[in-house]
Amino acid sequence: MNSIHSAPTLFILVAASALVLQLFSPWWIVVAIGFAAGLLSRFSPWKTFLIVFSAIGLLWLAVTLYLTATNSAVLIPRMAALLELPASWMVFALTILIGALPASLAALGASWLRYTR
Amino acid sequence: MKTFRMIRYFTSGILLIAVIGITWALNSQLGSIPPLGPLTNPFTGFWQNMESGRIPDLNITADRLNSEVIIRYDERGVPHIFADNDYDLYFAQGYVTARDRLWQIDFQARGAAGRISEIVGPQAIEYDRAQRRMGMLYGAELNAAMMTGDSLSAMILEAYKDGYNFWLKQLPPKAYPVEYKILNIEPEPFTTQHAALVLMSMSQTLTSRTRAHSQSNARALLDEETYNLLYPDELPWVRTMIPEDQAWDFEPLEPSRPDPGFVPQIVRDLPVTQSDPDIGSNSWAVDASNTANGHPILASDPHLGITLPSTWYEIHLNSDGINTYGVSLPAAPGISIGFNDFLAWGITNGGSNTLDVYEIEFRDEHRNEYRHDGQWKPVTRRIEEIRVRGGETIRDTVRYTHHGPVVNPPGEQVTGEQYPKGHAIKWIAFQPGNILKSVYEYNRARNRQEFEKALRQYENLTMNFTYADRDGNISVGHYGKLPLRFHGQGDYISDGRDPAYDWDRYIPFEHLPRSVNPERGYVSTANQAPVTADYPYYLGRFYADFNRNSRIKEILESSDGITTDFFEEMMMDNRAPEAQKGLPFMLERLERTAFDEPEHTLARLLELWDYNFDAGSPVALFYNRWQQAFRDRLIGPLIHQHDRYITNPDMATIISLLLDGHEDLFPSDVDEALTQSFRTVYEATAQDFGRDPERWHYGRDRRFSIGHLAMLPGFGRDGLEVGGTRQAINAVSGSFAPSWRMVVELGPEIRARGHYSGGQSGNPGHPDYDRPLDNWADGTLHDLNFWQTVDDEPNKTTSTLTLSPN
Repeated sequence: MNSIHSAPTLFILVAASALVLQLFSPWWIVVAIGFAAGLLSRFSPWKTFLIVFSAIGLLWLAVTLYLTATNSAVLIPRMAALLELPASWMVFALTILIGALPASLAALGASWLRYTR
Repeated sequence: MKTFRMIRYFTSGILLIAVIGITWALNSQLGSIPPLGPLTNPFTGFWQNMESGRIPDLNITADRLNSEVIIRYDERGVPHIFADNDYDLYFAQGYVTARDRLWQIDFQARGAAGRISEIVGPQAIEYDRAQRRMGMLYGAELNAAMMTGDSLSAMILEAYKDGYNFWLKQLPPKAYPVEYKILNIEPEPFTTQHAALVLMSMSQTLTSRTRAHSQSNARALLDEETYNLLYPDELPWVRTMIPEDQAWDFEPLEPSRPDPGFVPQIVRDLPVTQSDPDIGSNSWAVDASNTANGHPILASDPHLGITLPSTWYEIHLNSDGINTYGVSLPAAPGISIGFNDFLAWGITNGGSNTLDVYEIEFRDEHRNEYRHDGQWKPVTRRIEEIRVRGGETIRDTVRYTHHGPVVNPPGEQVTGEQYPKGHAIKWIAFQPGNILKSVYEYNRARNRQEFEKALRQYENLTMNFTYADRDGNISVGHYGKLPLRFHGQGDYISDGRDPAYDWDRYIPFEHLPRSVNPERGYVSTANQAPVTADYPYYLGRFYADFNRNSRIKEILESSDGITTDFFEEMMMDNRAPEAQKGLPFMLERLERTAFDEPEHTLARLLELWDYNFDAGSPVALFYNRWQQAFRDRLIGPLIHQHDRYITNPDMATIISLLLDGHEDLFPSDVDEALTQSFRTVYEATAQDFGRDPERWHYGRDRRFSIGHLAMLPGFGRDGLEVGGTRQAINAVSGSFAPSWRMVVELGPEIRARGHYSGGQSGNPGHPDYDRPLDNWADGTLHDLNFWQTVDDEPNKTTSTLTLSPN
């Protein structure tokens, strides 16, 4: 199996595959993508973790920002109240964490399996 | 090296297992926490429910249509449906209503049917059980059978259902209303039972109240003189809906006579606490002689418990033989309140006795047979299955007598129970009727005769209908299938053994109270008694007090040159006649010697008050609290000593007794009760809103809020600054408030204005979900676009939806 040496490549690969697969897969596909990225990554486990976290996190942030910009944002404070979050920005933060954290932890675990110094 | 690798594999394994665990947890419902992964996923979760408010033009092909339907949305999102046959019209109504209110319809139907445990688990079992036991599902089945048994209403219902399900079928899960994602449930398709469930739900709000047992208790426990003074047959200062001098020129039917020896048992096992009923509605109309433009004008202002999404959905139906505009109940085809090319109508709740409570004598503890007409008769058992999310299905047996269900079983506690244990209820909602067909016909009525004919089928709710038409006629009437009652029947617990209490005959439709083109030039209703004791039939006596109806009459009788603007202002009138009657007495008798400065200020502010519950009033909230505390001090020792469920006497009655010098009726000293309650309530109010009464502010302090239908936090609207109170025309109180305000001028061209307490879109992610509440709060009505043809005022269309057959 080929491995990936370039951080931008890994980042783009993770973000792009998440973008495409999420159009017809459940949300947890990002965890599978993170796991695969961990197996393919030539970077240290923690660096892989960071790349995957930022790839999924930024993708989800971009989509949420796009939806917020093109629509009314009235739902966001309502969701903040529902989820008992004190501020609306935390709805974005929570969303990103829910996507990026499990995916990047999966990458971390996978890359520990494979990583050799 | 090898050990190191082993440790790494081990850590990695632990981590990956943890990741799977976290992912699983985020994908699952944990207690009341929804699955957060799917919910927050930007691709399918709640983010997808954010809307811009723009509705794109669409062309959609629907197989079942007969011909093309054009739906024009206006700037407030009101669909104007132009079809050319009934099926297509109601198909389109189902379609557009589902588009805006899918979740609301689904949830309301499940709520009415007692199926909330399926969604939220064991915490709703008691709610569901109470719904089932009072026969909500039973009644819906009866009503659905009536509707589908008639070919016309069956067709309308089928069309609406097809339209609704056509919308649902093409809806991808990511586009499901956000509440589905939060509650983690799937939408259910529309069935022919949905309309019946919404009718049952309306009936529960409007006709399921009874005072029979609390009134029986009061009669049994109080001495006769006290009882008669506190609970008079007719409330003070009320002016009936039908003019007092109306003659009744028909030969009335004679009701059965009961065995006079029956004395109901004291009801011991219901909670003593009770809340004041807030519900009510206003509607009035003036004929051409009273208006500036020489055309009749009608106003309708129904009050309901208000939630978001709103109870109402505004819609315009145009097809062969119909051009009607108004508000509809989501799930019910047709228009409930509105107007057409010829006439306009308004609705208020009738308030006559519509639910009787029967004492039942069972043969033995198995309760399989009960006594009636000298015989033992078998009960019918109905098994209610309540499915519970994450729990076992519950099976509950409800016994039905021929009267109706024995709602609360003896010896068992059912939360929220409102009928005495071991008693049966008979409820107008269980009577055969087909309101759907009535609505279909009155939507199409062209004159008073056709309107009346349509109301013949308006049977299992009792309503007052106001009416005005372009020919200059106005009328008001009391409609519904009302049983023939002997005097007082239904006011107290009925004898389940005695056939005289059965509802075996009804007041003939022609004999129902109505007033057509009365000399005084106006008609009005505010849930007060429809008729005086001169009316040959007995209807009931627990109607609304004088407040709203006397204020409406006072304004109408002192005004001429009336315009629609005037009616709009009138609907926002905040005057409480009760305060006008009672407050001068209360202030005069207030013992002020021990007052400190803020209390003097407060008393002075009350003296200056114009009795208007305006948002800016410093004293309105205090007055309401003081009046209640005073009443409790006065009445408490009289009725609460019995520790039994007894209805509080009406405040108006108490005021009138005090003004008439009946102080010795009350064990408490009136002056002391007034002064003590004044000081206690001042302290409590000062705690809440500061010691300086001049800085109190009714609208701000009372924090009027509108909750979400499923009580989701953040999905309602908190802290609306509004005036109004239960006793005022603008009856904003507690959670009840004017739900649709409409004014229609019936000239050569119909001009109508209106608004309701919510937006057309039921989606909390839509900018219009709650935006109209600001105009609702400040009383701004909108022009209603009553287009005659599909091409009228094309510039007012914001988007067009075309539904075409294949």
